[in-house]
Amino acid sequence: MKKGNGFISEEYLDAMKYLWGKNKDISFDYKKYTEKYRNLSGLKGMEFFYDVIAERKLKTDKPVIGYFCNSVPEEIIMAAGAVPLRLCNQDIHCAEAGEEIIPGDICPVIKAICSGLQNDIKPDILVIPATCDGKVKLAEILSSAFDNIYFIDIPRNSDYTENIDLWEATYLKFYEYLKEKFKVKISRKELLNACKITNERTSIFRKIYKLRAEKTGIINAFDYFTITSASFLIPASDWTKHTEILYNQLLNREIKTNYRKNLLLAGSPIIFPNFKLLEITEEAGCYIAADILCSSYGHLFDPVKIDEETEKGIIRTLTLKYIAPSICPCFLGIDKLINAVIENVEKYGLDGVIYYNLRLCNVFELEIPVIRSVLKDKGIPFLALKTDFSREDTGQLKTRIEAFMEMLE
Amino acid sequence: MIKAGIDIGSVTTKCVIVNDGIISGKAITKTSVNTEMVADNVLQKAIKEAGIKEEEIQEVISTGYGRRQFKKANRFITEISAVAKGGYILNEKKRCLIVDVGGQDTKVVEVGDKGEVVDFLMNDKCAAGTGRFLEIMADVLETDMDGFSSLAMSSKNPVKINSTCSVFAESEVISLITSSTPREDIAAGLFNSIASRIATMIRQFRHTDRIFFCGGGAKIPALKSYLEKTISQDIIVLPEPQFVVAYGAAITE
Repeated sequence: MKKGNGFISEEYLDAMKYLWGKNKDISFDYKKYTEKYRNLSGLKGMEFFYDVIAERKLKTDKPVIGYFCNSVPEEIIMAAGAVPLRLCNQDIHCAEAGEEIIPGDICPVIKAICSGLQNDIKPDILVIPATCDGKVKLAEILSSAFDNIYFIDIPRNSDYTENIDLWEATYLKFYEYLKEKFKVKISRKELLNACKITNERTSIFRKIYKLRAEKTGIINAFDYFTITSASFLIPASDWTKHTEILYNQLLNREIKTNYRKNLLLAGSPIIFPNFKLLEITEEAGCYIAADILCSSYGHLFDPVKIDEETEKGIIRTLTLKYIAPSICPCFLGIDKLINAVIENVEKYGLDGVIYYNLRLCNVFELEIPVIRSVLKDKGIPFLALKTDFSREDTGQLKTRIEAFMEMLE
Repeated sequence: MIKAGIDIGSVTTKCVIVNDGIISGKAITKTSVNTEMVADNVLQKAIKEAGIKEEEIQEVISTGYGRRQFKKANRFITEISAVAKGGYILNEKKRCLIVDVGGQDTKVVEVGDKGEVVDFLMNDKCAAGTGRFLEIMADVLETDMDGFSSLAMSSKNPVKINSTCSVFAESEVISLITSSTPREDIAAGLFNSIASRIATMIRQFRHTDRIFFCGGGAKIPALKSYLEKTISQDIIVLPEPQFVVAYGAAITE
């Protein structure tokens, strides 16, 4: 995007730069915060992931490309010799601080992003896709304050039979931009290698996902969502390596479980440290056996299925990886989410579905009546919960989740 | 078998003692910061009314917002399950929808043929559409709940109140008062706005042919009347509506 359209006042820009500069002081003490979940874990293989979250330092000599959402092709970034770093932020302190420049009634994720990055590393380029309206505006505002903001203008219809060409065009443009920016030639080999790396990540993720769904209590929700949150912050190959180690430990794990019901979690993303809902579900004896969230399942589940190994062919299949399974409510295609939910519930014999609706992300809320109605027809119990990062409604949420569990029994 | 059900709500705490399922004593008091003490007081009152000794109670089951705070409770269940159990027995064990308007929560619970909870909805975390909202509005109109209800019933021309948020509604009401809108029309407008909120929750359910009403809100004639008007359907107030949840807890197997 062009920098500095000249319409934002210096005062506003200064406020924004100030916020971005001081993020380390306002965010959670992650080290302290991870301890409580680390202590509950009892899995040796989890140490690495809790360390990643606690330290929040990406160790790399390569350029870093920060991005939001699940619609930015990591493989292209990797092929260009850079490291993708997903910066979606669910830190309540950041969200509160962000209100300095973003109005209170805006989605807390947008506010949190605005108060800076949770990392010590400042990305060389920040890629913002047109997923929700908030991100679009954010791209505009941020590009006035900072260099190197890249906007991916993906269309809203995620039906690939209708829209793959338009979607692909935005990725090709991004591809050309990176080549130009880093003055690199990206070869077919590099693209294929990047796809291989994310496919390996997908492969181990699917194993963990399946194991979790089939064996009640094999991994608690804190550990699981810590692993998926860590996948935002480290190179894919590192994540794969350590998840494989963990998976092998899980295979030999003896389970003693107090879980009463196996549920599926759908809806808004859950990223560390926003674990309030998980604390309540765990306490109520509810095992999150599967999830259809953009921060975990959406981020890690789908492979690139290469059939034509030309440069164009690879970009095309990459596009398919991101467009075809998109479960984000900002896009046209609620059937994808609903099908995924029903398929998982039936495949793993789950007892019900909890839908997490992040307050002020209205498209999630908009979907609730539709999902409720479809699941009712299928006889699948459904509970929708609207909440944000704050703790004030813990009591009310507990009542709802406990009542839901009683209902299932 | 003698059992006690204690419903620790946000505004009042209720206790019902049952002897083989029949109510032998009940009591109600305002909830205060010391939940434990309030719960114990109300239990003692109910014991007195039942004419029994505390040792005779075989099980104490607590429910409501403060359910975990009462140490004498042998176990706890949520108010959703409790209201379903109570309402099911009180309505001759038939499938129904129960609307419970409490101080802090409004809930709609669908109860199945066997008394099971089929589905439920609760209001959002704020007090919009709850008893607390009505209390605040009665206060703004400088009357008590009875007066508030009578005012609303006498209105011929309810005004449209747009806010259901207690804070915004208060300022809306004040501006209506200063523009000389009759108090009864304001009162009616307020009941209409809360009734339409509850009606929206009711419409999410599929079986709405038998609707029962309980909780403190069910004691307010205007709320029942405006709710019936909004959904164009009769609703039946359960006997002793404030005690339905405590009763449901007491008869929990």
